[in-house]
Amino acid sequence: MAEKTFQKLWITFLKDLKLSFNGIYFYIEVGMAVIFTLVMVFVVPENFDSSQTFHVVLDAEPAYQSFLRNLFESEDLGQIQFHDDRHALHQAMEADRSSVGVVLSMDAQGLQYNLVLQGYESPRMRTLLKTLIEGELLSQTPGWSGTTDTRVLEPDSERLTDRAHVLPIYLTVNVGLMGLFIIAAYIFLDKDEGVIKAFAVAPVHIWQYLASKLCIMLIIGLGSSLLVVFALVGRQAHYGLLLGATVAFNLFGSTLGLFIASFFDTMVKAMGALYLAVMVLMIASVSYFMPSFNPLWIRIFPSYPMLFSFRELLLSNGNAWYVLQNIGFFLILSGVLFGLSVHRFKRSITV
Amino acid sequence: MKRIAAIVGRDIRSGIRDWLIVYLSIAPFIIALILRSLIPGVGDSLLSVVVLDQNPLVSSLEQVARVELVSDLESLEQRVLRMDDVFGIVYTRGAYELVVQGNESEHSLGMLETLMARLTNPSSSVPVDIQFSDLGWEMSPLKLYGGIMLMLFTTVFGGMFIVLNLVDEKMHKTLRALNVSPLSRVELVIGKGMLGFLLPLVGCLGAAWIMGFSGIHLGMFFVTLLSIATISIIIGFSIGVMNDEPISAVASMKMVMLPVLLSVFGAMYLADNWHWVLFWSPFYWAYLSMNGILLQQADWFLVLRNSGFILGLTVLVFMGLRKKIVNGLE
Repeated sequence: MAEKTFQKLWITFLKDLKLSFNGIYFYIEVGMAVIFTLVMVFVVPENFDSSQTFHVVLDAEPAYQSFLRNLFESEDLGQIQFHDDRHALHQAMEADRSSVGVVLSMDAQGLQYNLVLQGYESPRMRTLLKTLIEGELLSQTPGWSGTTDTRVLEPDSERLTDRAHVLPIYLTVNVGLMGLFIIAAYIFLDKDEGVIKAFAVAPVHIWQYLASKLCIMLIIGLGSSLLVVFALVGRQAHYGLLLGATVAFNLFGSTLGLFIASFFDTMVKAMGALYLAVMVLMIASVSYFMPSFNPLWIRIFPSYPMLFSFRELLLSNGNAWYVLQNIGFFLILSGVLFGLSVHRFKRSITV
Repeated sequence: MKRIAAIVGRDIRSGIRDWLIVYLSIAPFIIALILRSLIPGVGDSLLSVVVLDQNPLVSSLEQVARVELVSDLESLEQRVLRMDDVFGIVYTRGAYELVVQGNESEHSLGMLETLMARLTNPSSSVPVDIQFSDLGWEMSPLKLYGGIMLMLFTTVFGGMFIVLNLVDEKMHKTLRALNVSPLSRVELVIGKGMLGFLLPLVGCLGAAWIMGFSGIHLGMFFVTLLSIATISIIIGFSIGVMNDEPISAVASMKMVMLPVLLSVFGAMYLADNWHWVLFWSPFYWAYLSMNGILLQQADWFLVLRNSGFILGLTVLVFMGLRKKIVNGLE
């Protein structure tokens, strides 16, 4: 009995696969993966220069100038540009609104830092800058021994290059969430072309029809993720985990797409809601690029564990347990969403 | 004119019935609201730390970093080991210890060590007088780039409206009905493109208002918006006429994200002498104009030149696809 059930699913899947190869979508996905890989390899540098630019004016007697210059340059601050006066400093800062200005002066009363900020920096940021300067000067005091010890919990842990760091965004959008749109488009296309009606009289259950569509999305997702990951990080990635994560996240995206689509009766009606859902889900990428910003409400977005799971499996010593937990969680979630979608489509799909 | 208005009216009615106009209209507003509420938190501090409840430095740390409190050492270590960059600070037997996972950025760790040098020695005198002044510029780079990205993506919403509308018409064979009506091809193109042109205009204006871009030159902003809205038409017609079914249309829409992202990040990170590789992209010229206007550094020459390039590229694409558009609308 079970064998027959899966045979029907297999036949439906093969038929859908054949139709997919005849359509343009499969080739667009492959083209997108190739273009993305080429851009990443030939245009995006391996690591970005994200250091802060400091514009500095040394406002002191010539005798102190070289001392101040050495003092400032000894601090590992980033890019430093010296200017002759405040006017030039203001002009340089107006041209680069991410930069910070410093007017460093020295007289008989001592050293003076006038930090010239843009105006958008928060009070906390200002206090941070002040404390950093004081801490830096304190640690340069002769005989200073106040260094804080550091304990590393995972000495072998590593960071991705900036180029590889972008990859989880691509994988999440393209492999995890793209199914939201495409699966809905598949269903509504079948509906408009009357294929659904043929299913109503064929000995195939709704779940087999929907599962076949999920499998198509899965094949395309697996193909494009393997292609891009292998081209960009080679053998460093954990391909077993990549397969698991791609299957779980792709199924989640597709079943979520099925579930949302089940509330609409035309493709056009569903697309707006699906597009909005993807845009909102991608807000988690803010936390991904700025890991120190991690409010709870962002962490509960499903895209958050997706992004970090993809990151971990790209690291040679990433947290496999974290990825496995998420694979399990998303598989269960996909099962629930699939069950709900089948339940809803049973009532609406042939209408 | 009456016939164009009739097409637009019909698209509005079907767009509202299908909720498409509603979704695509509110999308820029919702994203702008999210960005507006997100940006102050993101830019508030560069560091996040976790400490035990009784850590004596809690109040000092709260003035310079985001602080999470936990009750025991195990919870602190578990928190440090989570996916984000949060440093642990432990106080035992009169000394402080930093607890790190090992994959945090060296820059952040160095910053925290320097901070600790000061915070653990609050009474040590530092031979320096630190004063603050600012230029009165309240727009953070996050707000600037977030706003520009949103406005460029809003053109994609307009394009998406045209694409879905055309594909829907083709699937329901209603374009054929329009073809036998006394409507000229030009009227059909204008009518079908009108809402795709207006949606980004309204979306960008609303997004700019919600995000609070004040003090910008409204004339330059509006001229740039007009030219940006034409990008929606290129996107909409070039994808809409080439696809007869939703799957390939939606997948093609995804391809549009690539030039948007390439243009913005290319303009931001490529050296000036490499910008010529982006000249083909209307999104590049749109980025330059928006960047200049929001930074209040643009002049009319820059705005008109860039708008001219956008319109020129639009015309070129239209001329190149003219036959396909004519055939695709049949």
